[in-house]
Amino acid sequence: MKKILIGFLVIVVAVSIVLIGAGCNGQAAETTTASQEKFTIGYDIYYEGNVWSLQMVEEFKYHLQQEYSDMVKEVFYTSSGYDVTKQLNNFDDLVAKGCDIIFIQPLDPTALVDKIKEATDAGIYVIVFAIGMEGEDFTAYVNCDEVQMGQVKGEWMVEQLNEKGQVVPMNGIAGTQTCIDIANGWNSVFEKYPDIEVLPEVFTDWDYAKTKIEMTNVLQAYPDLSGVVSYDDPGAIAEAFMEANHAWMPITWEDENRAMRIWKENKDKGLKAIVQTKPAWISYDALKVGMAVLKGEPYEKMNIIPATVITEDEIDKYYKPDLPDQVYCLTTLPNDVLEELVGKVAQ
Amino acid sequence: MKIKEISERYRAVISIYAFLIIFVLIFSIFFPVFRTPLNISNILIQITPLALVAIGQTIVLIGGGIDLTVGVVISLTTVITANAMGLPFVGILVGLILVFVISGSIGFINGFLCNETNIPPIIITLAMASIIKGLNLLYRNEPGGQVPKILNKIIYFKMGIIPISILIVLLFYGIFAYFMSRSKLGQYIYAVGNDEKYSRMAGINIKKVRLSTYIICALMAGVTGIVLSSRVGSGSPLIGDNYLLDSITAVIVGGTGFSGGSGFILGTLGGATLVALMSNALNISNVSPFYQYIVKGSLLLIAMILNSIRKK
Repeated sequence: MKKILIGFLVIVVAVSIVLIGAGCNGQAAETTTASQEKFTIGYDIYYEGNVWSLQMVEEFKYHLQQEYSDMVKEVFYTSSGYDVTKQLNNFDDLVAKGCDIIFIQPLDPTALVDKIKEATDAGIYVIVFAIGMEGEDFTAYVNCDEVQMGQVKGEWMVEQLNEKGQVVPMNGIAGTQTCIDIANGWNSVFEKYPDIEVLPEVFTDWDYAKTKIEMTNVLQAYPDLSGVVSYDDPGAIAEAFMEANHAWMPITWEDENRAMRIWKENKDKGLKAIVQTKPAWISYDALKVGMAVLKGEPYEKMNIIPATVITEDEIDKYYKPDLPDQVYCLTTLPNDVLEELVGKVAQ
Repeated sequence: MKIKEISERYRAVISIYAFLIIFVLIFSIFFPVFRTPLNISNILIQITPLALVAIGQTIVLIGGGIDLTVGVVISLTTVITANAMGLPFVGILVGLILVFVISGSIGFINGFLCNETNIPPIIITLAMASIIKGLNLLYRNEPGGQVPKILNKIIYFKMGIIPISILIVLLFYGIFAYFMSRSKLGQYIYAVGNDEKYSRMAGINIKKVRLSTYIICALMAGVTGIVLSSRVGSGSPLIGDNYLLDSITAVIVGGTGFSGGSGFILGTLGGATLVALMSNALNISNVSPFYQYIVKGSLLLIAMILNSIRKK
């Protein structure tokens, strides 16, 4: 038995070493030879728990390689896994690695304020994007107005329901700034309409399975439900309706291909929806700003990009019938890159 | 004690430190950034919270239990710290008192329930963790509040490249290493973890001993929360979540068994250092972030297997 355990141990160690080696090699492919015009780039990936976040990271990697590889000396990616402390550590590690520019999505609105100031004081450029934060000591900021996004979702819902009805908010991860801002947005609209009853907020961690289960529970528990405002996995919400054989109702959702397909197939069967979302290419927008900074070109410090809206008439413009369900339609990535990305996720 | 006896008795601790030395040497040679003063200072700061919370987890595990509430107690503490310490003049004192009263009470409830019910500690503390997480989110559903900057300036003040925080860690490890090896209660904790039945026959008050392990663990989670919130500058209802798995990893890697009655506080310091170092070293060596999870999991698995081989 002891020998078997030791053998197993050796295998685990060997596999780990091979994987680390593979990891090193994988990164080396993104490294180019140094020159004076080349820069060391750092990017802390805030979350890899769903396809949207992975697609956002891929938008960054793809365009960095396609458009700016001549400016790249080395690229370092770290991952925070939605852990604020890990993000602080990662930021310190990227600074220690000598990054000239760091791209970051702050998981806490205040935690990074002092660190970013120290970094920018030391001559490191810091591009904050996709999540809001306090202070303005960063080099540039790129984001949608998330409160406003929530307001637009809320206003559309009120209009669809003629100012009366029961609405359930389906949101991502409890306690995270981006979900709080979205909820503040739609709540600020709903509170003006006394006949709109807002049910307790449901948090699904942006997880497909959890979203489907929670949506199914809500449909069973609230027979008078009249609308769903969501910042969540839209395909899972739609599938919960279909599996429960429940009548469609107004739903605000995101640009996931599955949701777009279901929307296209059911728009004449009572499904009223609107996509109003932060596009995954926001990382590409951040990259463009960051590279302008490095080139010494003029750039805007505060870049509030408009949230993209897709209405029923525009489904065909965005829906990608040739691509897997999991892909998010608002993308600048070519199909083969998207297929490879989703293939990896599926594995 | 002869050298052979010492090396036999402290084999797990010696192994982890030997591994640490090799690890540091390899990375220092192949990745020069790893040994820069800035990175060493970063590592010393990164070790701090995990090393502190792992002390409490070690004591509970040696006593034959497990505490799954440490992560949520850390989060709760950061929230309390960020709210209470904002009060003028008395804020820090009020905050500290509140943190220790509340975290100590949670430890007391954990220990009490483990003593008075037949439910396994893993279930009790899992349920408690869920309750506390819910209360956290009800109390503050978003990161915020303000921790006085003076705390950050004191705890993370650097003497050269050495932050005060690591001296705090060493102080706590010194105190608890002495406590576990020399105090009567420390010895009782080993005895209870090793064999409850014989401990009871030997006249040890098992309930009191078990209660004390959970209270110490929760108080250390409280200390961790204070140190963490002073680094972040605010409170967050989710910030402690990852410390649960990391603390257990650090303790097991440090040579403490999962079944109680064995382990060393100083081994845990090595385990916590290795877990924190691993993350830093993999970032520095540009290993893809995804592989870091695999490495951490493998580390835990290897430590568990080594523990089981050692026991056989």
